[in-house]
Amino acid sequence: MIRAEHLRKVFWPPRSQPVEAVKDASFSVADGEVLGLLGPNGAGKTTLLRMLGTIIVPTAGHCWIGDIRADEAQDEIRRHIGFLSGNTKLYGRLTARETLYYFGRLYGMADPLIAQRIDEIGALLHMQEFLERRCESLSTGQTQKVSIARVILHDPEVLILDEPTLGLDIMTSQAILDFIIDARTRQHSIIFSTHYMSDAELLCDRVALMHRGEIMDIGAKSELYARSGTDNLHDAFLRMVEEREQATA
Amino acid sequence: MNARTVTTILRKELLDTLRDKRTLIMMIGLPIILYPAMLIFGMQIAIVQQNKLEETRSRVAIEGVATAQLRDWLNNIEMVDVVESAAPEEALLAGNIESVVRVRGELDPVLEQGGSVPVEILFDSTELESRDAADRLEDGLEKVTKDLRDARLHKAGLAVAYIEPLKVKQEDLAPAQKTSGMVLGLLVPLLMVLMIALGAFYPAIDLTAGEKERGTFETLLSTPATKLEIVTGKFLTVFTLAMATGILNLASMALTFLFMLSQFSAAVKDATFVEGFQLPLEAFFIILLVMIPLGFLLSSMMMSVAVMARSFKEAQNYITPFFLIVLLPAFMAGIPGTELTPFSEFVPIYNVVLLFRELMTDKATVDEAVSVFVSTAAYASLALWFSAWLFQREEVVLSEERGIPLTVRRSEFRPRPTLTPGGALGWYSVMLIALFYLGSLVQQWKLIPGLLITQFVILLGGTLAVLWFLKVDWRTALHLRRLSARGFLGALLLGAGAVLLLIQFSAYHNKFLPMPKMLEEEFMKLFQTENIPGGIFTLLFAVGLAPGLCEELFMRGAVLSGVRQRLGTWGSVLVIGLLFGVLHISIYRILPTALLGAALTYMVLRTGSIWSSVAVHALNNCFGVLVATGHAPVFVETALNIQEAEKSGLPWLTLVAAVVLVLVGVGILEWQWNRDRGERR
Repeated sequence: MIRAEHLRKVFWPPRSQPVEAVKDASFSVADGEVLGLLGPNGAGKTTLLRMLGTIIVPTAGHCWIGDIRADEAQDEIRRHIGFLSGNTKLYGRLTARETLYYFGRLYGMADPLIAQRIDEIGALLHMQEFLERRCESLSTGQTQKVSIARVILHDPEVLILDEPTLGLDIMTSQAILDFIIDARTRQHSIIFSTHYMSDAELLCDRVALMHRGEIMDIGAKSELYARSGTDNLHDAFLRMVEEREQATA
Repeated sequence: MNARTVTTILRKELLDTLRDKRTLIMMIGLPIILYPAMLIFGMQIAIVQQNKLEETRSRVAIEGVATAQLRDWLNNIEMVDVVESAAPEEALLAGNIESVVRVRGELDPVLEQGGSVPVEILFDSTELESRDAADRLEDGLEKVTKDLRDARLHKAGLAVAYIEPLKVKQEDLAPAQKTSGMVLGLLVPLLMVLMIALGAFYPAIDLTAGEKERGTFETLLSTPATKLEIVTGKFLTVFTLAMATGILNLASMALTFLFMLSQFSAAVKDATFVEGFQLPLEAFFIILLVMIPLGFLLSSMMMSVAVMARSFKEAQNYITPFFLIVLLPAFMAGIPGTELTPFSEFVPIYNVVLLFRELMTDKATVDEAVSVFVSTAAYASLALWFSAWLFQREEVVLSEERGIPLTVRRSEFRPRPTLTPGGALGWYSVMLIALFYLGSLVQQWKLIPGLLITQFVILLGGTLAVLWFLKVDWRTALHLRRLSARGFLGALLLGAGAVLLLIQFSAYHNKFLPMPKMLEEEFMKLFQTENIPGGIFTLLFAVGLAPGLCEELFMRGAVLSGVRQRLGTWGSVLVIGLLFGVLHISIYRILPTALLGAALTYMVLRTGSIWSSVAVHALNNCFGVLVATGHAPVFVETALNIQEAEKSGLPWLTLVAAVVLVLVGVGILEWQWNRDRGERR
């Protein structure tokens, strides 16, 4: 379970005005639930997810993973999180197996356990043929599989996925979507951001619409359709942005 | 900090780096192949050239009266041929002949009359063959001159000694090792700084900016590894690679050098210099030892610079000018006449290069070596702390902005009870360096006002300002708690006993590490009250009370409260004691001050109040002032037998009393502490 209360993040870029990337975000994601985070570039999705993943510290507010408050046990909380973003890459000069061993050890897992998990996940994601190859020689799809393996190696209860299908071909995207569906059935709490409305329509139990650092609306898809008077996420999002722009003007 | 995490990162980074061709070429390829190839190839060419030169005959023309006798003399010189030339000087400049012998006036008649004829050898210094010809002519004509002179003396019935009343000759008594030490001492340290810096260059960039550029940093930050563990693992990798490069280069250079020496001595006839050339082996051991803090310093500095960049290329742009700045003090130390002074011992890199040179010529003292070690280690820990601090800053490690992302705002800090352990040690390093530079500067200007500025402005003012800026709670961090009467009594008894035992310890200490007379006299100058306005009272305030208050709030306040979270009670007593000793920047004072520091730390940890150590520290210093200025009460003088005590120790009765005082003091403090702890539960 993920819970965020009044999360806020301000950046101070050199020689320019402070930027409030996330303004007062509060929400929760239950076990076995998928929350989609929708919004254009610069809406604050990555910043919000990085705060949940404890990669950056909120300027104000708190978040919890289960009963643990992030700022009180940052290192402990990361053992319960799997974090994957479209930007997270792998070490080109390590083989897929070496990569998984490396991250397994950083998660405090013993070597025999890592070996066992690599066997299990390798079979699940059909990775055996390229486990001994260096990551720099893998195809995009194979690299993505290694990334997924890294995320689930320590069997986290919470998955934070930042645009995981960005720039991937249809086959590889599908592998990721299958992985998310599978994680939901295993009662993981999942929050993921995306540009692709179709992915969100397909996967999400609830959706949060973000614009200029603010969560404009959050709820089940049917609720959002009803509130915006539309019948799909694409139109619902555009309608809400329009209304918000008119209100601020 | 988890050791397994750090070693996991270290192992991975080493494997990753060693699989990178670029690093491998810089680290192993360059030293193993390039130096021997370059040096030996260069040497071979030089030998071939030299031989060719020796086998080339010199063509010489005569300008002026070319008598048969002169022609004979010249033709008799080995490898010289006299040739005819209408315009000898032009022929020389055109390269048609190698040298010209110019005789002004008549030759034979002047010589017969016992006169002297000016003979000039003209040559073109830009041509090797011409310089060689001139040397041959000079040697040959000198021999002719000698023969003529001897003949004249013989004819006059005089001995050669008649015109040589004094036979002056230089003789170099320096042992061969010292001579070679001087030559190597100029070259090796410079190369070593260069090699370590070069070894750190690529890994420092690759592990920080390179990782950011490849997009793997965010992945790493999402794991349970703390930023401190990440920076430590990465730093150890850069350090290991820098040291490996340094050692490989040094070894390769030494072997190439030895090989060259053997080649050289075989090829060159006059090999006296070469025969005397020895490699001082123990010097290499010392070099390895000093390389450690130097490697620490260079690695952490380079990592700090590189982590601020977003890409490999940008990091190269940042680090290249920095690289040259680092080399500047190393070059400066190569200037003849530079040497270690109390000031230069603290100039980073410059001091290490100078120490090497002095070690290799047997000139360095233990005190100098320790100062260089301590200051380099202080700079290194400061640089390491700085790079750890940078790694903690998200705008540095996750920056997508252009330019160096380095801004510090007070509003970014959350209120906290004490400094972090790393922060406390970092602040200690800053103060150590500030005390050395600013402190000595103001004290040289005016001693007593300088002491007061050092204590109140630098130590206390600086510490309070930093605590305020970082929003650290003064009360908790400085142990500003009320001191109970029992706590005060315990601290006082322990303090009194400890000070007495310290006198005893100093007596032993003086035996194996006596303070040089000069330093002792310098120290005692402080206590000449006649020139100080206010006399003894000013001295008691500046040397007694001020350090008691300011040094304690700094050491037993800000630094202790920071490190105790990590080190616990006994670790803190040991470390803070030692750091307090080092703060006094003299090898003769480290141990005694460290012991006092340990006792002071212990009483603050047990009473929870800074006032216990402030009182004891101030009383100890005031006692010292009274004794040194001869103001101590007579009974104290007799009971302690002060004059003798510093040499042979305390009277045994006083010694027993001291031990009892310490035991009773510790007993009271432990009892009070256990009681307080019980109440808190």
